[in-house]
Amino acid sequence: MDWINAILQGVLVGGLFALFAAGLSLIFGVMRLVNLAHGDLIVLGAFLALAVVTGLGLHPLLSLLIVAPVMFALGYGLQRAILNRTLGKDLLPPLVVTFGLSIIIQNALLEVFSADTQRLQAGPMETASLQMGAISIGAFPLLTFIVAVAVIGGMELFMRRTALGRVFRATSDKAEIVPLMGVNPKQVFAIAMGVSLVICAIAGVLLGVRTNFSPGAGPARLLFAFEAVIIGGLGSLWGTLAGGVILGVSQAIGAKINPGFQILAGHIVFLAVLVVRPQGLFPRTRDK
Amino acid sequence: MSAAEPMAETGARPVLATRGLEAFYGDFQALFGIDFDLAEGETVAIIGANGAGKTTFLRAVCGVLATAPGAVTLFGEQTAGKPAHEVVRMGVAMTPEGRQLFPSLTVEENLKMGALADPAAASGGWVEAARAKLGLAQPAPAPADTAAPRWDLDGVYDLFPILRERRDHPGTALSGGQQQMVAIGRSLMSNPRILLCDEISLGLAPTIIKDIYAAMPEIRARGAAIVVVEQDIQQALAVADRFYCFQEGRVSLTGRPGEASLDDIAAAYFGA
Ligand SMILES: Nc1ncnc2c1ncn2[C@@H]1O[C@H](COP(=O)(O)OP(=O)(O)OP(=O)(O)O)[C@@H](O)[C@H]1O
Ligand SMILES: [Mg+2]
Repeated sequence: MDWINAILQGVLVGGLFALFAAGLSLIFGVMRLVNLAHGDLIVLGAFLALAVVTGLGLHPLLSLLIVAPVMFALGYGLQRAILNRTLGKDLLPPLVVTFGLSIIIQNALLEVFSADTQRLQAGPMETASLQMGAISIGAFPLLTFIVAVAVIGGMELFMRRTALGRVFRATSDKAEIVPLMGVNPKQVFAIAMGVSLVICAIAGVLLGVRTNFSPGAGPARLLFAFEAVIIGGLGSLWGTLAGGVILGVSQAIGAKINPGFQILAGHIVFLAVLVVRPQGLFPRTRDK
Repeated sequence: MSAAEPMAETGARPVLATRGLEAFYGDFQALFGIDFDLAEGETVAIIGANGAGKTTFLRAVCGVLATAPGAVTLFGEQTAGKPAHEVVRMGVAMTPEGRQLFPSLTVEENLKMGALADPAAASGGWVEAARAKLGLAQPAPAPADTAAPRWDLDGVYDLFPILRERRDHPGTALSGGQQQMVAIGRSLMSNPRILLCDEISLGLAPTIIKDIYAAMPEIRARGAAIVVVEQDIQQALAVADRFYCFQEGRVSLTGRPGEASLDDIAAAYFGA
């Protein structure tokens, strides 16, 4: 039973990893930009929520009503003002710039919030749990997982069913042809970055309620996001969810064997997938 | 022949004019002072050997390549400094070399992408156009003076019936000829006043080429002026009112298909 419990926890936390990964994978898909600041942007989302929660006394989940639009605007502006200038044939400039951005965000957070670890207080839902025989499921981890599935399902619908989603897919295919359709690709990139940062905001709030966070917590989230994306296969959102779940379960099993193995087990499974199936387990299939 | 002459004959207004158009790829100069005119409703062919600069010319016209002030005038307005997505929304559509369909989009989705550049629907930008397609906003009404029916999905499907059958297939799962039909249909969806076609017959069987060129009269009838770029001289001269022959980035010959002798054209094409 212990094992089943552990694996179940792993599945649920996998939803959070998938959320980390979804925004990263969206940005890589639409503009071939590897955003090394992605983890720090998630942590920034958590700190913005902290500021709103302490400032206005809102519940962390409700703080998203403010944090999500702010993050969208931030992403949009960041892309238009800085990142669009780095895009071109050379993959290096965006790497360098987002790496710099990562350091800037970490230092800014240190400056404003100090190095203390923080927590978003969500009240009774943090400790509530559903008991089913010997299996107990935490209400909040379950909520996290449901939110992850909803966000990823929503993104999938958005990409398939809306005109803007179609423009995203077309830009992902051939950004250089999109202007011939009267569409400004830089505008598409900016909207995509805005959407990615909204997902960062959601992930940041869920992260902040779940565990302690501090200004330096970003790079580890980036690593988990990368691992989930690569395990799942690029370009497939449901694959990303599967990648997150596999990573979560691997970590849970590792931790069960020996608490020190938790992170290592995730890395090992990630490497194994990379060796056996470099394209990931569920790479994008073009025809539906 | 003087550049203004054909328009004087037909009395039609010029929709596109280039004067001394130059184009560069970095330090490499690909076009050296092209003078070109296209009148409303006219079909003009550009012929020329590999590397003559035909594709470069079309790219410069629709703003993909930067041009000098005064070099390109569309509908009486200079395009210098405008990015491609704005030039295209003035009413120019490009069917690019190699078709360039979006592989993750179905045939119908590819066609819908073209509609985003419709000057009537996109007056407020492509976001409004997208909203219009979603039914969230009223598309701007078509100008009252357009007598010809506007292009829409049904219009394109009537023009190329096979596409209606294949509408839900990925664009790139089709045969070469059908893909070319999607590429042309995608251009038509913006209801362009100028249609630029870059080597639409390349790599296709003669019967398929015939099918595709059979669509030209209907496209013209709905009010588009057409520029066809072809390496196949016969095909190009058969549909064109006038032709330009390019050689190494310059116009080496221009005239009406009946007027120039094949020897002259061969000399202008290959360089004598
Ligand atoms: N992206 C590019 N970068 C550098 N040079 C280019 C580029 N595209 C074309 N050129 C050069 O510009 C010149 C004109 O090329 P262009 O593609 O316009 O010719 P074309 O007439 O369309 O030829 P084709 O019939 O083969 O399509 C050629 O010398 C070509 O090598
Ligand atoms: Mg060419």
